[in-house]
Amino acid sequence: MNKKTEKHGFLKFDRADLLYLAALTVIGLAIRLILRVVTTDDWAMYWDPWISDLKEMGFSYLATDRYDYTPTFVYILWVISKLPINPMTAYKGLHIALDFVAAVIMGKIAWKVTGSRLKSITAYGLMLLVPTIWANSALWAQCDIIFMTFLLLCFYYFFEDRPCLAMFFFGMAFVFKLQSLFIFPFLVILWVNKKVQLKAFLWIPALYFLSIVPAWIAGRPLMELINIYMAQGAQDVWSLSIKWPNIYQIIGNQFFLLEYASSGTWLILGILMILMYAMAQKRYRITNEFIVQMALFFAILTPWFLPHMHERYGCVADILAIIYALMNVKKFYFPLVHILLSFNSYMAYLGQLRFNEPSIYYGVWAFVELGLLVLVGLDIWKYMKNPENQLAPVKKEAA
Amino acid sequence: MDDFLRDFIIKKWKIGSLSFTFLDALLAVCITGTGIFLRLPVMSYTETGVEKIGAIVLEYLLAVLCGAIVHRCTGSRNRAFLTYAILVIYPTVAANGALWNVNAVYYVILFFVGFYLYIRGFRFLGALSGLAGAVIAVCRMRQGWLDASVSMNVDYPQTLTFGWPNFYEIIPKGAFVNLFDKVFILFLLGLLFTLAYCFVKKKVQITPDLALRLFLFLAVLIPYFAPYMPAWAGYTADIAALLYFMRWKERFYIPMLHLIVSYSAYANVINGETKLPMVLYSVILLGILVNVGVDLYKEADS
Repeated sequence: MNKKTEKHGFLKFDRADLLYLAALTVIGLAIRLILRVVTTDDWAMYWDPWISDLKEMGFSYLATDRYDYTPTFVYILWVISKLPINPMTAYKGLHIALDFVAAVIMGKIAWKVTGSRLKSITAYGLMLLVPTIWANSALWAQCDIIFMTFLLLCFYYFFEDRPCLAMFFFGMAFVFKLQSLFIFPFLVILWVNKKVQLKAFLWIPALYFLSIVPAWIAGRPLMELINIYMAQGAQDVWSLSIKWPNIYQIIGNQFFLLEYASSGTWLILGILMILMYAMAQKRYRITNEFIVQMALFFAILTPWFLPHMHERYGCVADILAIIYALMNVKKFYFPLVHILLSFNSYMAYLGQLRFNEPSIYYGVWAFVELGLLVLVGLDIWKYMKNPENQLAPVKKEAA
Repeated sequence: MDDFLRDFIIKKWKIGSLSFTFLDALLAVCITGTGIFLRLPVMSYTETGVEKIGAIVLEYLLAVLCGAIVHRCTGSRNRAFLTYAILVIYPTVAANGALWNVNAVYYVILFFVGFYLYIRGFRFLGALSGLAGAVIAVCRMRQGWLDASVSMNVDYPQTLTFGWPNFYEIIPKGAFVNLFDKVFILFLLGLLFTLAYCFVKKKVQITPDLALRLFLFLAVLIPYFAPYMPAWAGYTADIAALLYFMRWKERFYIPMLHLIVSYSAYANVINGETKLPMVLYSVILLGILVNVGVDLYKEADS
């Protein structure tokens, strides 16, 4: 399929397609409009006071240390503070619009990887129905859809074989959320396998630096801006797992808080090093499916060991699981289980469970997540063991 | 004498186009009687009136109808007869009318009449019957919600499920009730649209086998995500699961598990307590849904 046919084919809809697209767009919008009225703690405690301060202080607010998100997000809040509409409506409206953008990109990804218009259109429709997507933006007033949209674009351009652009969008995702780094090791594997060049990685620090320049000019010290993610990580340390079903929900998340917080971080770094070492021993044929397998693996693995993980930190794995199932229908259970698990964690927060366990204990979910991790790990193992997928070795051992 | 009796019980009798053995007739009489005697001891739990008696009669008719459906789908007289026999003593069917006086059979039978008409080729009439069943079901359930609200003296329901162990047992069932009741109806609509769209685009031929798979899938899916489902929301799926097993005997565990889930939901409401956490049944139902969904996908894709 050449690019022209591909683009033309993607936009060719018959009556049934249009009817389905219209129906799901209306349903997706209606779900979000119903939920837009909810005011969550995150809105009341963070975004609303930040926007109020921005209204009062204008751009000079960026010089203060009252915000612990990256300045890029605060620029968006600054724009919202200038709008003559209710700030929550504007805020949620923006993220809802991005839900639709993400759904379109998901549809394009499905078209790219499957060449099936049916899958492409249903991917758009189903993306709008995914509970963790609508709950994140319309209900919770969270902003994860911004970096997820950029991550989707990153994958789309990897599938298009435009790695530099893909890395640009990864850099954009990083500018908004640290969680984008969950899948960073897979980029290293792509580099080892010559899918991406080292210079493309410069997008990450370059975009980050560019994004903090306005705040720096406004007056906030440069070092504070560079270390904003470090400062973020130092908050919410009251539990080793903040409702995310990972290893700490099995071994106990309220003990050795400081000790495990540090050791757990080193542990996952060690695990990632070992994995990258093992995967860098040989060169592999990089297929779209292998890209998604690896990214999904790291998106599940990293939060499984990292301490202080929040309820929403499965969102990257949620969307990757959808792409994985689109590529291989036999893996349909990945998005089904992962989204259920993820939504359960969302609801533990949104349903005000506080320190109570949900109906299915976090520990049980942690084992379920481990099961998914093992399954996708085995898929990668099988792929790497298949001689057809192995290219010339990096180094030859002496005879 | 022994040989005479042995031959006698399996000797075929013919009345018009109907052929049967003595054993058939014996079981038919005995099981019909057993169905009555099984219901009698529990009937005093609720008021017995015309509606309940009518429901019991309809339960027998439903059993006959399901036998006919199985005969149509499998061509096996034995399986058809077994279907009748099992349904006459099916615990959830018997308890729904005789014990609980809910009498869901009044609308459930319309789904099966619709299904039977559909596989006989009367598609419009079949759809009409199913639609009529759905309208009555919604009205009955709506009345149930209103009654519950009045009895609990609340303006709005406090929980998203009224006893059926569905999706809401997994997430907190009391959270965002006034929003999620609409959101999940839309979500369900979205899923149904997607299903219909895939069928239309793939130009899937609805054979009787596929119709049966689809019927069970919808009977499990809809109460799994629809809000305010009562404990007897699995009534249709209970029976459809039995038909499913009669058609594909390797799926014997589906009616078995569904019946356990369904009766446990009854028991939870009637007894006011449950021996096992309801969330376990939600997970079992999800497993059934996935299993039937995969079967449906394979059949539609073949």
